[in-house]
Amino acid sequence: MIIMSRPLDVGIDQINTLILKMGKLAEDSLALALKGFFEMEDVHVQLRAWSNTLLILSEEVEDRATELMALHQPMAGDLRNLKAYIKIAYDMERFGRYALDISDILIRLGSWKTFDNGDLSVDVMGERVKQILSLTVKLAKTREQSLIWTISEIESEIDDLYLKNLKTLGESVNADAKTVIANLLTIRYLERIADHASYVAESITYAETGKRITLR
Amino acid sequence: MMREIRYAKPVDPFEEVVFSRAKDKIEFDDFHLWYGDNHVLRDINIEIQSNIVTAIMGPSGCGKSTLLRAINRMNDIIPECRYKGEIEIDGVDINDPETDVYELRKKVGMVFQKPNPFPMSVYDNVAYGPRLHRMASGEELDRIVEGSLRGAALWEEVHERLDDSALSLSGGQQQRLCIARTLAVEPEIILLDEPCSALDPIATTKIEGLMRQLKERYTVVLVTHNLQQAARVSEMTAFMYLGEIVEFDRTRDIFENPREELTENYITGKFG
Amino acid sequence: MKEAAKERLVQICLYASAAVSLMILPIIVVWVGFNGIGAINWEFLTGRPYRFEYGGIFPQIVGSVYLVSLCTLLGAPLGIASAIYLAEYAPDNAITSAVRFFTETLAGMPSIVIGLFGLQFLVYRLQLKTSLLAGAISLSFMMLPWTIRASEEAIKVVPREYREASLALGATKWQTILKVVIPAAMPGILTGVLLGMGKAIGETAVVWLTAGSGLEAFVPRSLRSPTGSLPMYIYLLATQGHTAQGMQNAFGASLVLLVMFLCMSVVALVIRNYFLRKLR
Repeated sequence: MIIMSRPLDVGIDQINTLILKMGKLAEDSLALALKGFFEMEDVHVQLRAWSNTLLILSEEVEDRATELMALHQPMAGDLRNLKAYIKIAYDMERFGRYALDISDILIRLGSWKTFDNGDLSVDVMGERVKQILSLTVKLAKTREQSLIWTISEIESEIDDLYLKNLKTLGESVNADAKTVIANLLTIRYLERIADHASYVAESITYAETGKRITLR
Repeated sequence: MMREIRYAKPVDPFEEVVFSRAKDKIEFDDFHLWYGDNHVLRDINIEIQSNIVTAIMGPSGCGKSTLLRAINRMNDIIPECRYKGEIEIDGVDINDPETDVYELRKKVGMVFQKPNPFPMSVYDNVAYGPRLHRMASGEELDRIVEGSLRGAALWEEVHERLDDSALSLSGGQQQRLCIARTLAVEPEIILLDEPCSALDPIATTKIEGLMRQLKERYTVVLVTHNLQQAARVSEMTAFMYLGEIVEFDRTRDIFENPREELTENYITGKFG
Repeated sequence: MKEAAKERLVQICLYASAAVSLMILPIIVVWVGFNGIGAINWEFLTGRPYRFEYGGIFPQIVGSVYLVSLCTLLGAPLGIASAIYLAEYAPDNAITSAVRFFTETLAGMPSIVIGLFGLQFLVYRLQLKTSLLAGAISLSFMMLPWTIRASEEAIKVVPREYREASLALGATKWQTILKVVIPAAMPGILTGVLLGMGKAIGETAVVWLTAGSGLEAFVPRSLRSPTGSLPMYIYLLATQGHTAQGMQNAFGASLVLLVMFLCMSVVALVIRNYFLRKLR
């Protein structure tokens, strides 16, 4: 006899909903931050608001997950899922934080001149990071394990782009200090977002299969 | 360029120490058992190790108690019981007709679901086994009784009431008395058949603590329907269903990431 | 009639029935006591009967005690052993059912029939003569089914858990029975034996035919000698006595017999409670 709906299931579903909500917010935050960076627009007020929301949601996920563990003593798949959710919630909060950090550059430094050397590919990197975040959120929703391979590839690409851009910035002689700093910080934050996106993917794989993997 | 996806398995150093001391003790070899026409145990092939707690779990009627009772041949009492295959303890088949069943039961002790002390004094209960097997008398018997009661974490509570009737003790104390009674005949293996199911939570905690101590010197096999207890107390866990061993692995692995879907469904409460 | 009134009527009838039943024992005791107390004195209790209705009842008292003791010595172990067999070893088949049936039937068999069998077989055929031995053996036939029944019941009631615990410690079946089951069943077994003894002490028909004339003037010297007994004495004096003294002696002996019987019942109760407290 299979009993499908347990009290635990309700709780897990609720947390899952929260996570997906956070995913949407994260994607929106990244998109807005990149827009603000390339168009020199001040978007930090909106991103601060979204970042706070993400923080609150992550704490809520953590509270609910630990409460479910204390009350229902879940095992196996249920336990792995709850452990994963707590980690993912933290990663999601980080997305919001880094997006906010990107928008803060404009406030801190004031505006800067565009980098004139064509070797800099922050925009490509930005696209890739948006892509990896989107795939990760999709993975969180559908749990399709095949997405892992794509995510791993893109992560790899982003790493390469990061190193390449770092080199370019480091070797530039003509550029303004502010330009270098602004771009440097941004690629740094983008790289971190990509890292956290791969952490999320690893957590989901752990939740689904019980295997602990590293995508880097 | 595709990065390699590496797979990491966590290792618990404390657990490794425990397992390093464990040796094979009980081995089931193609073991089957029938009650009349009922095929209760099917093709059991597992090794149970010493100095760890092995838990056997599964839904009602899966055969876990029968499996336990096969180890000290308590199933022999039931007339329609027959079996095939071998059970070896320290390499010797216990179902061989030459085996002395009474010596076997001295070596393999059993604690039952409902505490069942004899209607005698506390002292006489613990001394029953040693007197029966003529192991000691007088002062030496006193020492054995005290040692067994200490081993069962009961001495402090009863040492001034040794002549009181065993039935005047609380449920948890009675169960520890039954454990002491088993320890008094110096077994090597201790079988516990749902020892806590008739006890309150505090008594249960005490018995669980005791099981963790007992594994230092004995082979402990526990049948339980309480998943959390199996997870808390044991190093190895077997999951049984309809007379078969579905999965038998380290407790940590079974409860975190079972290989069989049936096991996962049972553990997560999708069927009972 | 209204329901409440019906209820009341039923209650009254039941109370009345109970009252009548409960009064019987005290009435008998008091009646016998009144009528017999006059005969009780030292000479009566220690003297011997002479000239039929005079003298004392000492040989009769001793005779009854000997009869019951010997009967118990013969019947109790046999009964208890049979009970152990039936409860623990007997397989569940037709033979066992037959044995149980025979035992139950023996319990209800008319005592005069048993007495007659004792007379024909023990006294004549085995040439035991009318004697203490023949009487005791015949009485044990009467006692046997009661002992078996009570003992078997007491043994069966001992919880299975005790046996399992004992076997799990490496005891054999017999060791378990001896060290755990029998001690735990002791209250029931002893009660059964004492009840059997109570029945034996008052048994008239059997001793009439097998034990002795009843008016023996001497304590039995050996197992083969005839023995007096209180029930016989009472019967003879009550039916064939001519004098008031005779009747009073009969009542006196009845009182003694009654006292002995009540003592045994009380002892049975005390022993039973002692063991029950020990097992608790």
